[in-house]
Order: sequence, then C-alpha cells, then structure tokens
Amino acid sequence: MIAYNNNWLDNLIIRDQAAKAVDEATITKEEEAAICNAYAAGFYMPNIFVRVGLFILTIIIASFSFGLFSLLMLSSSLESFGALSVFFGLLSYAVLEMIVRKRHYKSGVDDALMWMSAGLIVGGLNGAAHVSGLANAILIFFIALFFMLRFINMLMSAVAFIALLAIAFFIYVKLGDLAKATMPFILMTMSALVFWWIKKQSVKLQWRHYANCFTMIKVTTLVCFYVAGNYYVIREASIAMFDLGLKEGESIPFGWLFWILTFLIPLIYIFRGIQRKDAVLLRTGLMLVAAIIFTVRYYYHVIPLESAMVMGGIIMIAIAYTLMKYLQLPKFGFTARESSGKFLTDKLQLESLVIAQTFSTPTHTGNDGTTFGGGSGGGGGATGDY
Amino acid sequence: MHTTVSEKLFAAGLLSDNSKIKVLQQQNNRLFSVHWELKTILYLGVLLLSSGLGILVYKNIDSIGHQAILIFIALITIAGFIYCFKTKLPFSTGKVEAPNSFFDYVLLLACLGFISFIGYLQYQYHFFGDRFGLVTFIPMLVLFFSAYFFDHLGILSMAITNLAAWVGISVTPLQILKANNFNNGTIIITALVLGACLVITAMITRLRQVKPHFAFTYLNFGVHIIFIATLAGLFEFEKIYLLWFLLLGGIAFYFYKEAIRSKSFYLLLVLTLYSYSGLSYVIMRLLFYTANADMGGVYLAFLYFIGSATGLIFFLIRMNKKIKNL
Repeated sequence: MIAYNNNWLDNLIIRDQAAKAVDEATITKEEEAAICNAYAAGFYMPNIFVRVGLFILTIIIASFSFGLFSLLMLSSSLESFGALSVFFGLLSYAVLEMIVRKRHYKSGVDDALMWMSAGLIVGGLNGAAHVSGLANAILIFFIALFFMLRFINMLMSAVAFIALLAIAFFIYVKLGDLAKATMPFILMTMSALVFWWIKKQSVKLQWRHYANCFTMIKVTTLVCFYVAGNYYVIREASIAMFDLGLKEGESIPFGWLFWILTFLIPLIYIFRGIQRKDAVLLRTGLMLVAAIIFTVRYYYHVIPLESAMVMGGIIMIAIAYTLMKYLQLPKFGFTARESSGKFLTDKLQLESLVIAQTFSTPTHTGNDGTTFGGGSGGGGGATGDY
Repeated sequence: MHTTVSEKLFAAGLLSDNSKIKVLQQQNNRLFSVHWELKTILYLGVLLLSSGLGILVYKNIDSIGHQAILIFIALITIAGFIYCFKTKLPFSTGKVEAPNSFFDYVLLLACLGFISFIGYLQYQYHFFGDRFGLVTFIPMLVLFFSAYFFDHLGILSMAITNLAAWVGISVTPLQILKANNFNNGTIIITALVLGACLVITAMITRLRQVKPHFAFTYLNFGVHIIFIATLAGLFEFEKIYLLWFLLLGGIAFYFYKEAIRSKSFYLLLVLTLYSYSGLSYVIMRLLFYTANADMGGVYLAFLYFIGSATGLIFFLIRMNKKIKNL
C-alpha cells in the first residue's frame, strides 16, 4: 500500500533512533556512523527549508501549467472547466507516482503534487456537477484516506477523520429532531471510538510507518471530542444550523451537562496525560484550557478582562515557577530540564522572534518624512498595546 | 532507542557492550520532560500579566494618578534589574547561560518596564520636549546593553526592532510589510542602509567573536530588511529599475556565498525566493511594458514561470547536495 520503499522506511526509523541515542550520549558517534552505513535509506529527503522551497516552486509550476492548459482549451462553461480540473488532478497524481519512483520522500515536490491532485479532483467534481454535502464528505474521506495510506501523510489523516465525522453528521441529521438533540453524543462517541481503535492499532508492528499519522489522528479525535461537547459550539451551532430560537442569555436544553463537559474534559486530559506520561494528552489538554476560558468569558463577564489577565498571569507564573523549582531534580519520572535533542526552533532562535513580535515597540508613523523617527510618544508602555 | 532496535543492532555487531548497557539504562530511567510546557506557561503568564497591567493602568489613569503609576513602573523595572545584576553569571564575550530558568523572564519584564517608563514620561510630561528621537534612542541603548551584558537573544531582537523604530521603520515579523509605506524613497534608502548595517554587524560579530551566537539574529533581520528594501526600490524607482536589479543580484550573490560558508539552508531558501520575485518582476516588465506584448506574451509569461520554476527546483536540489556535502 505504501508508495515508498518499505525497507528504507524501516532503516529511517533505525537511523532516527541512532541519532537520538547519540544526542542522549548512550552510543558513540562512530557507532552511529556505522549504523547509518549498514542501514542505508536511498530516499531523496532534502533539508526542511529546501523542502519548503521545492513545495512553493512545484505549486508555481503546477498552477501555471494548469493555467496554460486551460488557456489553450479556452472554454467558458463551469462544467467543462470542472472536468479539466479533474483531468489535471489525475495528471498531478500520475506525476506524483513518478516522482515517488524517483525516490522523493517528503521532498516538498511530492507534498505539493499530493495536495494539488486532491484539491483539483475534489474542486473539479464540485464544478462539474452539483455534489451534496454528504457526497462531498464521502468523496473527501476516501481521497484523504487513500493519500494517507499511500503517502503516510499526517495532515491527510486529520482531514480523513474530520470527513468521517462529517459523514456521520450528514447521515444522522436526517433522522429528525431527536437526532439533532443527540448529535453531540454521536460525534463524541465516534471520536472516542476512533481514539481507542487508533490507540490499539498504533502498537502493532505492521503499522509502524504510520506512527506520525496516528499521533495526528489522536490529537484530532481528542480535540473533536472536546469541541463536540463544548457549550459554546453546541449553543451557537444549534442556533445557526437547527434554527433553535434562543434569546440572548437563554441556555440550551441540558445546558448544565455541556457546561460540565466543557470544564471537565481538558482537566481529565491533563490528569491522564500526567498519570500516563502521555505528551499528546497533556499538551492537548493544556491547549484546551484556553477554550474553557474563552467559553466562560463569552457568556459570563465575572470580572473585567484586564483583571482576569492580571490574575491569570500571576497564577500561571506562580504555577510555572513552583513546578520548575520543584522539578529541578527529577521527581516521579518528571523533569523540568530540556530533554536532549536538537530542535529546529533552537536553530532559528524562534523564541527571540516571538518576543520581538509580541512585545514590539510601535514605530512612529505619521512623521512628515523629513527626519528620522519623529512622531509622538513612546513605546507602547502604559497604553497596554505592546 | 528502543530495546528491539538495540538488540538487533547489537546482534549485528554495530553496538559495543558498553553502549548496549547505556541504552538499556536510558530506556529504564526515561524521564518525561515538561520543560517546554512550563516555559510556554511562564511566557504566556508574563505576556498576560504585563498586558493586563497595561490596560489596568490605562483605564484607571484618573483615579491612580500619574506619579503613582510612574513610581510603580519604576519599581518593577528597578527590582527586575537588581535581581538580574545580583544573580547573573560573570560576563564573557562567549555565550553565558542564564543562572536559572526564571532569569530571562525577569530581565524581559524589567526591560519592558523601562520602555514603558520612558514612553510614559514623554507622553504625560513631554520630558524630552520635541526631541522625539530620544524616546526610542534611550530604550534602545538600554536594550542593547542588557542584551550583551545579560546575554539575552530576545532582548537583542527587541533592541534591533527599537533601532529600526528609531530610524523610522517597523521590522517586527508581521508588520514589516504592513506598517511601512514602501512607496517612499526615504524609507527605502533608510531600510537599505539599516539592512546593510545589520548584515555587517553580523559579520563583525562572527569575525571578532563577540557574542558569536548573536550573529544569526543580526543576519536574520538584516537579510529580510535588505531584500525587501531592494525589491521595493525595484518596484518604486521605475526609471532606474535595472540598476536596482543589479543591486539585487549583487546582494543575492553575497548571501549565496554566506549561505555556502555557514552551510545555511535557511539563507539559501530566503535568497532564492526574494531573487526569484525580483527576476520575475523584471521579466514581466520587459515583456509587457518594454516589448508591449499581446496574447502571445501571456503564453510566454506562463512558459517563463513553468520553465524558471523548474530550473530553480534543479538549482535547489543541487544546492541541497552541495551544502550537505560541505
């Protein structure tokens, strides 16, 4: 099923682990070199930045080829343009298969062709004929699933899962009012089932190359499980999609249940994440804490925003400070120290850029262009807009 | 390393006994690192606290009184700097590690406080009169000093953005294109000179080995500012655009050499994309303005993009190999 050379993919895993082991100083550099020699991977895998460049350039080539192609066959009707898109999508796929034969693996070229192909086929079919929501969901699900299985692509796996949820939604919603009321639970059940199934599958040796896809699906299912039970999402979606006539400040049926879910799920994620030392659960849970805060603040203005920010800031600093001090020496298998390993972010010094962006001094615009830096006042400061 | 993998490698004679034992030990004592989670929480906390305080002060300006606010900000700043002076490790021209993971954020808070203090002073009391330049110049000096003295890359980035603000342009990543009016000749030339200065500073930093890990930050700001300024010049000064194109070529060549020297794929990508934009602009201009092409020109333009992008793909693939084998 996988388009890439399976042996090489295996060897990549071994090389990857050897590189990590060198960082952890468990094996020597010479040993790593010997391992890399013994387990060759003949893929063309350029550096990440070259990959970005190749991706952009491939998109340019494919788009302009498509443009030239359409110009030559100049036709005005949407149907024939749609057919042309589908044809070009299939052509992109053919080129993609060829490129993969030429040993490209996550080189940017194959990524670009894959997305072009999927996008053009789905878009083209929609242009050529009227496709219903359900049909679109099914179409996207199968295309994304195929690309995920064949090209082990992480993003495609997330797209496939979301399309699967959409299929369930469109089928179930036709069953009437009861279905609309129980929709959150159907979507949550689906997410939970897929999560458990993926969790069981991910330890199997035969799926070893899909490890990244599985991680992605896990994150997506966890987020979808939360979103499906989130008070804000349910209230606003009921109003927008099911014409639920709610007045300002009025709650939805069983509102208390969804409030509990809104609060509880991220906390359970964090708790389980710490208990099982599962980074996926822990990080997803931490991210979703922001969603709790947003949901509460959307409906209840308990305290003014700035007081909430100050208090939240102090609490967060206090928690981080205490834990950092506490975990200076490892306790219960946790450590506040960096796990060894080189991060791309270190090389780009990303943190300093983030600081420059979020705490920047505004320039003095509105000068008359005569002298350097006129304008009024100073850097953000007390106006709070730094 | 997984036990199955290490067993396999050991059986193949690729691991020594010693390494195998170490791998097993590592496997049994694996620690779960929450380093990045804690750092993110800390960073968000500082961000929330400082912006929340800012809004709080702004809203209650009538009831608190300006002196009280100024004193409060000054206290935060002074306390922060005192803490940093006390706990910092001895200065060296090389890289100095922060004494603890909290240090960087205290310094950040102190520097932000100082900038607010100066800004507030000017806003409320016109402390510097009409010498507006001083309002950004003084914080800039303090930021550069703090960046070098306490060895903080984030503060260095803030100092560079402050330097740019002092000469009149905005260079934060999201605003460099949005906030600047690049149809203005003065701004283009200013940005060009600023970019060149930053690139030269990066070079001196590297050659002199004064905080050599700062070189990348200078270079990173410099390369984007200088390329954007040159492209803006190319688009803006229509009469002499070929001259600007030559300049673009020269700059691209310099960075090409620099990318090879420092084995930087990032620099390679940046210079390729900027130069390609410039080249495509000139080709399109020649085609549609100078040669006044009609429909045939459109076909030619399409062919140009297909051909040139294909060429660049081969260029990037070759360069990838070259840099990897250096």
